[in-house]
Amino acid sequence: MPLLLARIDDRLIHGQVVHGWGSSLRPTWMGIVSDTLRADPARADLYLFAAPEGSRAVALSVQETLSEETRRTVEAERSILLFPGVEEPLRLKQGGFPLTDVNVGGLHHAPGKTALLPYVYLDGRDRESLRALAALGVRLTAQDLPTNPSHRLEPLLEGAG
Amino acid sequence: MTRSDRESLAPAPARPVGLLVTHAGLGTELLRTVEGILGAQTDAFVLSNEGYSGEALSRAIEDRVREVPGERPVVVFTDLAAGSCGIASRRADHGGRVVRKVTGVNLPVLLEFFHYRDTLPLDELLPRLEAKGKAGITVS
Repeated sequence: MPLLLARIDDRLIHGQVVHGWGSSLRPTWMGIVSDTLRADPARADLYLFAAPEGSRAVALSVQETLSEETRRTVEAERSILLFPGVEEPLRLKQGGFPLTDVNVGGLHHAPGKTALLPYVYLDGRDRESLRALAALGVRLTAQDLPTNPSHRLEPLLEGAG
Repeated sequence: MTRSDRESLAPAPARPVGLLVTHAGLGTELLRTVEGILGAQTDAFVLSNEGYSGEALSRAIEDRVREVPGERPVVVFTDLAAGSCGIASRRADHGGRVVRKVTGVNLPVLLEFFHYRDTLPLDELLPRLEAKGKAGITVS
């Protein structure tokens, strides 16, 4: 079973992921890829608690996600990978993880970030990282919910920032 | 000492402040509906998750709580326990303040809260909220 969804979402596991995507994809395994959360188990538990019924969730560092063991799990389960930002999927791809598609589902407003879409705010570094992901052959889409339109991100990034 | 003297000497319980942290406009509409039933409410605030990252929503909750005078307890009501609001409310750090969290907010919970918050101590009020919220759901 290929990876069902690789999603950048600064809220990680939350309503849109659990109910919106979860009800249609029926994941059995969710990996939050974040070195920061991996190093803070108490904080990670707040998100892992929110995993939908029938799914187990884990917090992983980028390095752990690159391991053979994790890759076997991703293949064996109905899997979703969640990233808090753009850097994590870029590091995964650069490390050899077979990411082919990345969904940008929620990067909310923060100082220095401007809106590309109502739920996608980027700064210059985010744009550079997304361009780098695209250059590595990753197809980038923005879509908050499966029932809402999907937007190809590469054209929106051209000439911006 | 008459009964009324004793009552006037008893310390009044600090009225808990209600903070509704919900998806989209749900909190605003819930509060508007409560006010349509019980009348206008003070010490009640709404925070929508719209536009916030999880981290920023936690900080916004902390800011709202900080605006409440320190002796007042705060009850944070959220809708989905496993949603951004529920998670952010659990992540928020309020130091030593009395901040209690109620997930799965519905109209019966809020009516109970606003009706009894001036007369019941918080430790009695909170179990009532849970019971009322659950009892408000029936399937036939």
